[in-house]
Amino acid sequence: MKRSLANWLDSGAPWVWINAGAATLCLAMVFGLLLLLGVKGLGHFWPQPVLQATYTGAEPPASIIGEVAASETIDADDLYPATPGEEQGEIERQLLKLGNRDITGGDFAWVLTGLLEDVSYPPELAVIERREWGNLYGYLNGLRQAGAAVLPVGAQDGTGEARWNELHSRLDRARDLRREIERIERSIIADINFGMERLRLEERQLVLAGGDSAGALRENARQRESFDAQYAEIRLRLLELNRQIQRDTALFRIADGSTVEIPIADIVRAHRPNGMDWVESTRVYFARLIEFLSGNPREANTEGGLLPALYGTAMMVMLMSVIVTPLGVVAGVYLSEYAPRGWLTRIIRVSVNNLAGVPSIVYGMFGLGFFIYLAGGEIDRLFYAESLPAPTFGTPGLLWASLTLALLTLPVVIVATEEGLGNVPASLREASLALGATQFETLWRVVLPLARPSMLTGLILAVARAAGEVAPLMLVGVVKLAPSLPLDTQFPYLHPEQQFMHLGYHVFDLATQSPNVEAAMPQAFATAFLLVAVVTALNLSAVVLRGRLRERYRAMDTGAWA
Amino acid sequence: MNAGVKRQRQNEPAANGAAGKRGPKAKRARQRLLRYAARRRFWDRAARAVVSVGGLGIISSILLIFFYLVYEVLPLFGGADAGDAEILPRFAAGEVVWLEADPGAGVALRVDEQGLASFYDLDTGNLLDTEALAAPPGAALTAMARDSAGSGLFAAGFNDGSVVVAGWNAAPEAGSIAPRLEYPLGPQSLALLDGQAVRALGLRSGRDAISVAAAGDDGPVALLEQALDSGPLGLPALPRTGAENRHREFFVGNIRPEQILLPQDPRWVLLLTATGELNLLGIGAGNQAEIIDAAPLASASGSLSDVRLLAGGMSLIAADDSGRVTQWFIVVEDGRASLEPVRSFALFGNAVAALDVERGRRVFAAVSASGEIALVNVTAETMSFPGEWDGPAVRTVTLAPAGDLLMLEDAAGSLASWRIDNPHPEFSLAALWRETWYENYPEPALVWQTAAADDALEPKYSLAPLTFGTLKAALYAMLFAAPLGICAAVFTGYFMPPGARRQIKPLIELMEALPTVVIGFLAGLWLAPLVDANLMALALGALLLPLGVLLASLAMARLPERLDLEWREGWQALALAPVLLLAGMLAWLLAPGVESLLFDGSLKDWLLQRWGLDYVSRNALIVGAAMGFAVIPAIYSIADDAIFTVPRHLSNGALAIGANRWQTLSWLILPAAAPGILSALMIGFGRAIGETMIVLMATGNTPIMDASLFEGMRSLAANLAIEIPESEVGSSHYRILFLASLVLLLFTFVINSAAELVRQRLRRKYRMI
Repeated sequence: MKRSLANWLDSGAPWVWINAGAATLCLAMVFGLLLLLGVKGLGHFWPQPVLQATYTGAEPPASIIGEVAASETIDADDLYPATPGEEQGEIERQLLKLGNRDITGGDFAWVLTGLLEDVSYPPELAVIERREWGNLYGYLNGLRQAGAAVLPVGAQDGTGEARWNELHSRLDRARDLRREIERIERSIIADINFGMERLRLEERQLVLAGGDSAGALRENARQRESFDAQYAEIRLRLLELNRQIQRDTALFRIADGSTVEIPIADIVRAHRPNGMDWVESTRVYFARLIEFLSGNPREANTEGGLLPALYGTAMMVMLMSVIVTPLGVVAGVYLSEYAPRGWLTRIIRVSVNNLAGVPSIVYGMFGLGFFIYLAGGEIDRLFYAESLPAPTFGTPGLLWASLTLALLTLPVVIVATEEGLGNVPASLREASLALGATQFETLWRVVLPLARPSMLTGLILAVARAAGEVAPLMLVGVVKLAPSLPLDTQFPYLHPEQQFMHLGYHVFDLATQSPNVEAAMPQAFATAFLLVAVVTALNLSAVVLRGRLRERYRAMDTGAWA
Repeated sequence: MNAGVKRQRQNEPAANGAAGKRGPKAKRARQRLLRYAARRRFWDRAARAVVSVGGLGIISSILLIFFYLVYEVLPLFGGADAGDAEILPRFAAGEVVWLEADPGAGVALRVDEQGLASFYDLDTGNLLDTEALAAPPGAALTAMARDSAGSGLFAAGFNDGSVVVAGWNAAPEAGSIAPRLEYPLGPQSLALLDGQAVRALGLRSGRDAISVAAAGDDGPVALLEQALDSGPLGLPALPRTGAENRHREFFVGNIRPEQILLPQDPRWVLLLTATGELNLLGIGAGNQAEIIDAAPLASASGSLSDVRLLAGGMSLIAADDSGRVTQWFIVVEDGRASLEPVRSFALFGNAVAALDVERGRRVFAAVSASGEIALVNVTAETMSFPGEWDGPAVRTVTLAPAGDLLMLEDAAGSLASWRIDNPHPEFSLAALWRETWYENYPEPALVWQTAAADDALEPKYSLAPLTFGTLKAALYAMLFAAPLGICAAVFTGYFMPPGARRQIKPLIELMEALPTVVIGFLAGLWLAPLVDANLMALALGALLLPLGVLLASLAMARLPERLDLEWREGWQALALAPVLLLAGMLAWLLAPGVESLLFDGSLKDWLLQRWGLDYVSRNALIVGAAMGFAVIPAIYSIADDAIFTVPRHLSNGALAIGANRWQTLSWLILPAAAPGILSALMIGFGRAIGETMIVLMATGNTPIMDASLFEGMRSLAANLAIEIPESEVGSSHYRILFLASLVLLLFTFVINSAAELVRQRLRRKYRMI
């Protein structure tokens, strides 16, 4: 035995295994993280059962309704205030999402599992997702139209399924009305506002320019009147629509037995999770998922969707790609094809390489100081004097964010381009030159087409890095909530000076700046998962592309491709 | 080879020349060919020019970052500048007792001993107006005092014991220059002393009260507090109607104050006697007061020439006739207050003639008897000597509130002013790093605190806590990442079959692509509470995981020989996954038992009681783990390359002469790859230094200097993200933040370059083998 233990130590096997353990741990961490994000991020949309119980920990015992958001075991001594029951040692407690924030003030509470009595899951218990104040949990008790109670036709007592169905048909009606209101607000009113602002700026321009402008001013005044008339008309229409949408209300009996009345227009979605089978649950799941991907955020970003963030990220990345690709390719071609071979070029190459390792926040500082304050301030003085002191380009915005990130990712593209050009087999170049092609023709017709995939790889990596980068963006353009999208129907359609929302910053905002951390957590996990999924997919595609390319070059070099 | 192609092409037309004589058609064809060749040459050259210029331009624009940061930082290093002296003609006859300037409105105020206020136009030197100070009838001016809170108010005391509080408004209506005196407590005088001439006077204004202290030749010190109603937004406060003036008298024995200073803290009154002794009078809740401490301000050799409270009203400076200016604090330690000399500036070779202070920054101006002018920031201890007055001896000097103008009057009555450009007195390289004694601190300390919101608070720019936090976070991250990254690299780079390595490596490298904001989010909101609740399980896990791996290895070695042979070398990684899982679960299950057995039920309490270690939820442990996670792929990837590219024949040779694989690795491969591994560590460290989001989200961001694993920190990068959006463009704070980013840039650039150099050398070495 002793002998074999010594042998075992001598063979070095334990060390090999320790190394294997490290590799396994690294892999486990990657997959663990992805799994954690996936489960927490995607699971959040699945409808959870809602429990009703009597909590004897309260004085007097209270009836509560809620979803279990988390549970843990803790030491009874750590509880503050001390446990209601005289329990000692490890006890289990649950974080319940109680909803009804507008009525009770808070929507989460820790309860001791042992003190929950009469726990039941009534199938008619409804979860109402609202536009404001978060979820409402309760029993549908009645419907009112313009204050008068509604009894659905064909139902004897107006309870149960019939009432529930009536609620849904009225929800559909409210949704259609809301769409109409939003359409008017989004397009028509925005057009009028935009026109008015244009008139104001034109007037200021005229005043700034001096000279005789009475005619132009009169024309402006005439246009303004027509805008005012349009606006008055639209306002009446909106008032009417708003009156209509407020017509219906629903009554709910909540946990403490009281009845609350809420306008149906405020309801986003209503379902009864305890009574749903998996088909219905799946339907709710996908409805929520679609809302998450295509809706606007609500309640300080803790609910609703993240369309503006997705959109902002995509716009920023696209603008950045448009900037970084030609710049990176030209610089890469220069370094690889035209730069004289010498120590200076070597130093430049190493410097460019190392710039990829410079902290991203430094780029953010540069973007803020140089682009925004220096360049943006100058642009404002020269071209937007009429709207000063309100800055147009002298403030964080999409253009500056894209430029900053283009600078940040430039080394990635340059290095990838150079690598791609360097990997093109020399035999092909020589053949082209031997046939009498000039250096440029060889480059244009032979080398660049072959190196295109590796440039694409570089661009993908750059995009992945830009999509996940947050620190510099915090300084140069992202905001918690952008009032409008940077691309819309207003001339000139693309608004590079506007601030925008970003997925990564969205995660940061939800995680650290949210007033209601518990409510924000699920949304933060879902956003983080989406971000990681996008970035991982981009990276994996770059890895695959690079692998394919390597095979192809190897084949070319050995002549097997012919 | 390129040149050869060109030559050949140039020869083409000549070779075709003989055939070209055949006819006009052929001639045209030849010309077309020539034109075509010329066009191709043109395009070739054009492309070369465009790409070269473009490429160099783009590359230099990246390097612009460096130059821009330097450009933002450089102004910090400039000292104070003074323009040329402008001599103002003199109009008033009386001797000067008070001088003030407001360069924003372009007006200066001079009050003479008769109480006559004269307003001058600073640009032309013209006398704008004169106005007599509202004095009680028949009374003569005997003392004046400046508001220690820096509001621009002053108090005038008269020989009948009454006091008037006045201020001046250089431009009461926008656009016009019609300066006049104003009286916030009304033009009627306040009777402070009972018929005795005011000998010493002090004034302090606050948001809700104005306090005036006065003393006569003998008798008590009188202190009057007038409550104020805060005025409408932007307008001065008004005396509260109907509110009782609080008039108190304190007997101070045989102390005869020559000057009274009212510090910002209402508990203290400072009394300066004619002998230069400063007495600290502590005031209780009622009328009782006692002298708590006394200190001679003047050194033994010299006598005192001027004393002022600095901006913020928390410390005072005293100048003596040996050319020295000393700063004093009221230091409270263990409930006992004392007067402490904090620092001293030897400014001149001869006596200091006059002093004045700025109202926002801790800057004072001093003029020597021979006319040298000095501007000093006490916190950073920066001194500059921007100019000199070569007229007669200086009688009084004044600094504009913002420090952008200095004006003096000499014994002959000449008024002279200088425009001062002193943008960054609060910065000095030494002050960024050394311990500084700040106001309200019992002793010198290293502090980063930039509360721009409140002028009364002294800004504290010490980069030491931030640098410490940065290095602490990076070192803990390296402690976590280096062993894991290198061990994993050793395994995949040497023991794993190349086919498997190709699959596994991109997966580990995928960690690098994960957005750090997600890692920071998980660290701060998922891992931190988890570790907080299960610290014991974590500690146990750190012990049990390697133990489990070793046990698994032992078990494998004890397997029958035949089975062992079938075991494919390099796939241990897969087999270990369940072992790790098991060890983790075991740690989880054992934790409560071990905790109650060894640590009285709570590891955290035990740490606090036994070692004095406080556990903060978002601490260096969390940051280390999270940032380690982010850094592992950088270390792993380069270290793996370094190990994998060690030429195989070296290893084969060693194995052939009987070394086993581990011996080959440790005696041959690792030494050969050591430089590569070193460069991997350097790159990892560089990345950890500059990482922003993880530190920002996973720590409490308090700039403290505590090496404990269980305390938080604030790093340079996180500090940038927190503070730059709120920093005023062009201010010292703004530029110091840019200095911090320049430091980050240079540090990472140098460390990455060094790593790159090491790697290139290694590559050359392998090529030779």
